[in-house]
Amino acid sequence: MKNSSTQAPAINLGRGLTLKSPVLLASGTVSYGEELSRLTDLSAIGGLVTKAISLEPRTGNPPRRIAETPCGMVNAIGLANVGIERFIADKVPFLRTLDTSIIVNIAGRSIDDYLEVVSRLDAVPGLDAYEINLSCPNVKGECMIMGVSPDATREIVTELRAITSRHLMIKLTPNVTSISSIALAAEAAGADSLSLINTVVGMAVDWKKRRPLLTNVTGGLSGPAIKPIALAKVWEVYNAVSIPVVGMGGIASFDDAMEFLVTGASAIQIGTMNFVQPDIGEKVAAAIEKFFSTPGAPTPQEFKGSLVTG
Amino acid sequence: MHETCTIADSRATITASRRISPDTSVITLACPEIAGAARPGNFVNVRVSSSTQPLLRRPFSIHNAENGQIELMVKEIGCGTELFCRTEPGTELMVLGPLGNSFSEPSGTFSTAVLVSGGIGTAPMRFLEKAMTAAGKKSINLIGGRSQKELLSDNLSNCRFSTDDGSCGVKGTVVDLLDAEISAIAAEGRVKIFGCGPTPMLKALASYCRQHSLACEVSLESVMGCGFGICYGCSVEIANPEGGTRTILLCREGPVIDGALMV
Repeated sequence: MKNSSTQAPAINLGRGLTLKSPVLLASGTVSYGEELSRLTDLSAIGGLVTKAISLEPRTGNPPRRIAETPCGMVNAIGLANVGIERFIADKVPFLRTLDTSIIVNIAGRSIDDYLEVVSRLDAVPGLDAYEINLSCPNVKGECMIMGVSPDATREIVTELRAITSRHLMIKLTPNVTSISSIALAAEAAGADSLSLINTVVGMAVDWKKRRPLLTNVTGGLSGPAIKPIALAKVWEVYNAVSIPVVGMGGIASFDDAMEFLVTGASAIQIGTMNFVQPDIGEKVAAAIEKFFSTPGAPTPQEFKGSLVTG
Repeated sequence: MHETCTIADSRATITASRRISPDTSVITLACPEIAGAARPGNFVNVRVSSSTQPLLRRPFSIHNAENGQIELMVKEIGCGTELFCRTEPGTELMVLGPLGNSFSEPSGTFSTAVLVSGGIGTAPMRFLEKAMTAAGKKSINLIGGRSQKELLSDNLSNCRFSTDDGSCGVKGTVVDLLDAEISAIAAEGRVKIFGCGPTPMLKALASYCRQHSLACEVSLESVMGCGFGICYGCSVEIANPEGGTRTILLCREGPVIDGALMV
């Protein structure tokens, strides 16, 4: 953690990743931070997770890439990003000026891609953690293959663990039969934390034109529509593993964030709502801080996962 | 084309909303920060509902900006625009802007600006015409639509029309209208074309301008998410001057591009 100006207790996710607020901004919804920094105070949040970085630059999928759906949207951006070289040269210098934790999201076509990107980033100071994207639904035959298999997840996390001492947050897809089996595999292989959920495979259709709205046909559903799915997955994973869980999926308010924390998340990520309300992270972080600093309030540790069932 | 640097997310009050056609309104919003910084061609992204349905903001090009207010020309094409057109004056909405780049400075080496628009593409032309007039340039509006009831010419001067069905003006496309008018217009001095409308119309316009060596800028439209460069949803393929094509985010490197780059 960099200089903290807040009084809130820090959130320790392990292996050097300490957040001054439990509010992170999710990968794919903050680009590399510059645009949002002009509209909101990023030092008020716990950290931001960069757009997924791959070894080579990627232009992403052809348009149309997004479509609105009830209380949500589907996207098939296709991991458009500047690639590791330009990320380090052009994006990291700005990210380092931010008074918040920087988590770099990484996507690849093969284990070797991930290893190469991580080893190059390990040489760059000022980065706080890696979020490993094993679960992009919009790139055919690539990282998603790993994120749906416990064995493949174990293999890649083991290899990454062997080469980096930085915090490894593994991002999980909900598009599996048993998310806890993937979570357990990642934990056993040395993951420091788990973030979930990535988008839910979805589709939007114009029946009059008999066409899908997205050129990619299917996309990843995000936004408030997926919050109940996300809460169920966070609860399942929280009860299965002992490493910290970072919850996300449709968080649009302080109340939504608190629902994830009480369900077992140590921290949360806000994604799609950044598009709609650029200062939402700052607002939710302030409200959470206020809640936990109210006399008589539980500590974040006491509150986490304190959901009463049965 | 100019990039905008000062962007604000302003709480703006609707001060007026008037119907200009059966499905189109001009909505006035008080937002001095945006009105003061706006240039012709810029757009704003409006949160038409404080709930999460509809979720995303809606982008609108700025129809006019003066006295701390902006005007938006809004055509009802779905739930978001319908909601916006029904919203009563006095209501506060979040408005993000000014966004995107703008049309070139009117101080260029032309004497007549020909503003070619189709359908709701007329929206940015009032603001552009005002800037042209202020810079001492002559403006001519060529406005196309499927039929007379689709023609929008709110507060524009010097308008000539085309309709697909011939119900008003020249029967044909707005590019046919340009073709019919251009020799007379060009006889009076150097011309620059500024276009806004549906993509097929802009492709036809850009192609016509290439063939006739006319300088041309077009304002494109695309589905948009955030409007300020973080969602990567508004990608558009344009020609690369060095050959081939490249992908741009329309909210950052557009909506205005050189017509020669249309593919």
